[in-house]
Amino acid sequence: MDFQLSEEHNMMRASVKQMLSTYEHRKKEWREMTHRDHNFNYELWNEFANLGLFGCLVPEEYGGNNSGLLALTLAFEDICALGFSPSLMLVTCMDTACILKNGSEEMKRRIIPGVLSGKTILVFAVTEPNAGSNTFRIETVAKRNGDSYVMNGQKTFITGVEVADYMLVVARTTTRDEVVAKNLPKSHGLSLFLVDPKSKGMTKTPIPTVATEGVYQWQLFFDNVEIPAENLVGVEDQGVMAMFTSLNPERILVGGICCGMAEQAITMAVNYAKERRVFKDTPIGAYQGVQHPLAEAKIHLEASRLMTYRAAWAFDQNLNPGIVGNYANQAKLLAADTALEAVDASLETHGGIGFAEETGLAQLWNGARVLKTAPLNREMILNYVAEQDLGLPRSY
Amino acid sequence: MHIVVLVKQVPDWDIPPSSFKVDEAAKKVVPPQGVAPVTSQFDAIAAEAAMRIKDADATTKVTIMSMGAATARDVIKQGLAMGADEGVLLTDAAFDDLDSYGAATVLSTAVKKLGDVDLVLTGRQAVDWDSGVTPTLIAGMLGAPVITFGKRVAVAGGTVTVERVLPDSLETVEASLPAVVSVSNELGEPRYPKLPQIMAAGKKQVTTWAAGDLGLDAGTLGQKLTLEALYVPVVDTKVEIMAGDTPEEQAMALAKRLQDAKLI
Ligand SMILES: Cc1cc2nc3c(=O)[nH]c(=O)nc-3n(C[C@H](O)[C@H](O)[C@H](O)COP(=O)(O)OP(=O)(O)OC[C@H]3O[C@@H](n4cnc5c(N)ncnc54)[C@H](O)[C@@H]3O)c2cc1C
Repeated sequence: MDFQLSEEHNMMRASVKQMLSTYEHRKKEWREMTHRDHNFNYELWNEFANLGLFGCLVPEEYGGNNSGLLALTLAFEDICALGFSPSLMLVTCMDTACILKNGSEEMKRRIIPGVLSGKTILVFAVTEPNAGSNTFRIETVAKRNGDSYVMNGQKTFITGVEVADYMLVVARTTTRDEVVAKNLPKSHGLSLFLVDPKSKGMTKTPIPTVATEGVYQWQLFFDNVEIPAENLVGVEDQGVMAMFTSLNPERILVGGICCGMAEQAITMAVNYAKERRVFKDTPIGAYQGVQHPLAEAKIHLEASRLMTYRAAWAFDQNLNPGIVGNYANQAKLLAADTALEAVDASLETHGGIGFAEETGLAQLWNGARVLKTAPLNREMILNYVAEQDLGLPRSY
Repeated sequence: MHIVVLVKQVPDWDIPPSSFKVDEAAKKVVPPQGVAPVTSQFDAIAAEAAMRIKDADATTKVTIMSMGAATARDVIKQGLAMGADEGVLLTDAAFDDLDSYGAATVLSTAVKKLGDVDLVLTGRQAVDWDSGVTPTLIAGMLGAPVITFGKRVAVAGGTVTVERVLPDSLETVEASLPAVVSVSNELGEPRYPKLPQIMAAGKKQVTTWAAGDLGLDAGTLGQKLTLEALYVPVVDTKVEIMAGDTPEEQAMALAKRLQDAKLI
């Protein structure tokens, strides 16, 4: 067993850090721009593209660098550890993985070059008002009509639609009633489509939320939206398996984000605890009451890293998506818990100043807290592990 | 045009002073635990200088050469990822702990073995020992001119033109090729490799030469320096508070104290 990162991983991390160090002085301005004004950070987006991060999951024949998901996960971790945000790179990369695995050759040639150059932004739309944790309840329908599909329905909590070039939308091509009537497996009937958010018949309303940077969450309404048939990703009615080719990387990358957030919070706390003196001349970092929560968070961070890296490695090794998914879910759960634990310990270490906007810790807490619930909540992961790994009966 | 860039792997200098330790008995620096060694800062800038020449003329071949432990492969890879073409690692137990003269002997022999080298680029000094004499020694051994502290390096028609940094000004110097040029931080930040280049670097070749490949052995390296002692100097800070009821009295007490200490 080899726990060493490769030469390439180390070099890539050094490049990510070097690139970000040139923007250290813009951090405050960017935080205001993304947190307060919800403006998308195109400048950093272009730097991610320039560095080649959008090419990690893309084979060389499509212009990528094929460095893999572990490389990308490490980059996400470092970006967050240094107090920056990968933003929509998460959804763009997970959609890219799905297109590469399931899309037609024509679709790959049409979409991937724009992704690599940073020109094309992709988002993901699965959640509906009546279908969150339970994807099979999706009601949005897409009906074939000659050379196109016609989509009707609604989606909610979709991130970044205002800047997206395409949304990867999960919709029903066979209704639930038909699936039941024909005694088909319940995974049957869902399909994936690339939809231009500016299509005729699409409307959107923002949902004000507290926790996201530089983009909004949206409620979307599809009213007879026409989608060219060539924008079907994969095989009609077989979208569930295709969807998992993007959900696995999503959870692994969320693991990376959470590890980075935890690292950032711990580093801030340690630096503060070395300087802050409250009683006599002793820095508060000398008190075990301050040390232990930070040391515990650090240990949990190491565990989260190992699980996240294993999941990314399994994806890169092309292991069975079921195995990758299990690793990915477990890593995501632990890393999200750890991020919250670390930010909480950091807030406690900072005392009152931790809540001042300038430290960014309260925003970090919001961000980490979202990742406990989304994209997949803790309970659904625990359900899965209880059923799949422990063989316990299903209650829902 | 064939450029050889000499890069040295050094302990990461960006560590807290408290992590810097020496083994006084062995007269050696103890590598900081868990901190990977890095490319000496000025050597990365030398690689940048080479890449700028290659940017202007794509036919330029750049070789990254490093003498050191097997781990020095990492700093060669870094140069290859910046865009260099080939790497040469000089590693042998006989090359451990060499002084500047011994290092220059090994490096100049290896440059000669490559044969067709037009320009050797180095950092102004390695940031571990900060001696800064190796480039000049190498030039002497190669019988080539040397220009130090380069801020800008350009080549054209068998000549290298270097803008060099002096304490209070700049001067422009020309030399005929082959030549040795050391560069200074004023040249600018080294570029960071992009992911496609990093992946491509994995496929580039790194040749390894030991002492025998260069026709050298421990006896022929001509060590000139004897290390008598190695220690971290003790810096002692004492605080004295000047007594006095008024600022004027305190100032007088301070002036007297400084006079007594023969500081004013
Ligand atoms: C900031 C943000 C951004 C988002 N961005 C996107 C996006 O870009 N695209 C997208 O498609 N979606 C997005 N979402 C939606 C997100 O994926 C969903 O909120 C999430 O999947 C949970 O679905 P839900 O909100 O409908 O919760 P529900 O399914 O209603 O569940 C509510 C709660 O019930 C509990 N629960 C449910 N079922 C079970 C069970 N079987 N056992 C035990 N407990 C259970 C869980 O605690 C769960 O948190 C985003 C959400 C947020 C907050």
